[in-house]
Amino acid sequence: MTVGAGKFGLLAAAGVGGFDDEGAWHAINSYVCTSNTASVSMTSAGSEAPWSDYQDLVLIMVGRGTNNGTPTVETTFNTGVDTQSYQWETLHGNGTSVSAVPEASVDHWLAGHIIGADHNADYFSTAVSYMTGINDTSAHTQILTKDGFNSEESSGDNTVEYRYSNWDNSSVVTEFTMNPDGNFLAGSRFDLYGIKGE
Amino acid sequence: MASTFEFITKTVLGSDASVIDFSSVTQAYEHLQVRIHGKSSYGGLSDDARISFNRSTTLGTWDQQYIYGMYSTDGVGELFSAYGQVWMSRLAGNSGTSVYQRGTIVVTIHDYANTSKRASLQWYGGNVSGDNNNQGKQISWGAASWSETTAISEIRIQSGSSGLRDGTSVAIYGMKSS
Repeated sequence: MTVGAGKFGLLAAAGVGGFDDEGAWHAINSYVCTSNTASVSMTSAGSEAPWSDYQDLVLIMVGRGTNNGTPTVETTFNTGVDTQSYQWETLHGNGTSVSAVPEASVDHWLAGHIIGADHNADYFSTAVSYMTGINDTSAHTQILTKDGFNSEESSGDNTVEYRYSNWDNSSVVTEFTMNPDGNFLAGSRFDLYGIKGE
Repeated sequence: MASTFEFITKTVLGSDASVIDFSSVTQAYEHLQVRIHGKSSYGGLSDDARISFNRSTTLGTWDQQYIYGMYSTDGVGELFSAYGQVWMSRLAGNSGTSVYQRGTIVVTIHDYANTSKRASLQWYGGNVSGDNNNQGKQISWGAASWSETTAISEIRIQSGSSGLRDGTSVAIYGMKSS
């Protein structure tokens, strides 16, 4: 599923309301899964303002999966143009222990974990990812992600994580695709914001 | 509805510099956010970033707590009244790493114009490269308090062991309340 700007984007492009250009934090894309969905993509062209207008992007994901456990949401930039080019470091806590977990040279970053289908109904995880320097071709792109959930049950699946990822690529970011383990459950939500750098 | 998160200023280094200073910081907001995207001149994989206010370097004015992950090691720490700046997450170093490598830190400075409160801030950030060791993969999150109640009018960003490399950028935003 590729998310477009819809009527608001068209209105904004035409200069007819729909997009408030005040301040430095702009809501530029949003999508709610109306059915179980295999993947969700967002693009610069499909947003209410082009990503070239911004220094950083902020993604808020409220998700639940159709697989059990703690499905991960593997995410790639620019239609997965690179392989083995993502690195990250994670601080992971599950209520009883904390651990530092490195990862090297993989083909995705993680936009977060989502609650699996075997957990109490109607609980969704939350994750916030800052994608920094998306238009800076003199530097790699970094992603700072905080995610976690607790589904009112005693389970080692309840987690909180802080992760810093590096994409070893200095290209301008124009697209990202989120692929969960299984599908996103209907009702999962994705909101994208742009942070101005001037 | 009026905007509540506004861009104030940004510095991008065109050449190496010892520090990045912001002077005459506006007092028109309730909170500030500083977004750092940078690289140190230090001849290693990474170097800690530091922040201080009002050009003060007085030792013993900052207390801070932090939690960190360095490759496969996790831990917590406290720096109590020992330093003249806050030690934050790491910037990219200048040796053994890609010229494109950067460390990123987001700092929030709370109620910074209030002269009846001691200043406080929290940050999170890191520097992660393909180097599989403590210097190549580091993240941290922490908070700090400054013993001064002076309004914050100047902000200094620097690296711990050397200067800042060209291309380092620091942007400041203001947050308003209702």
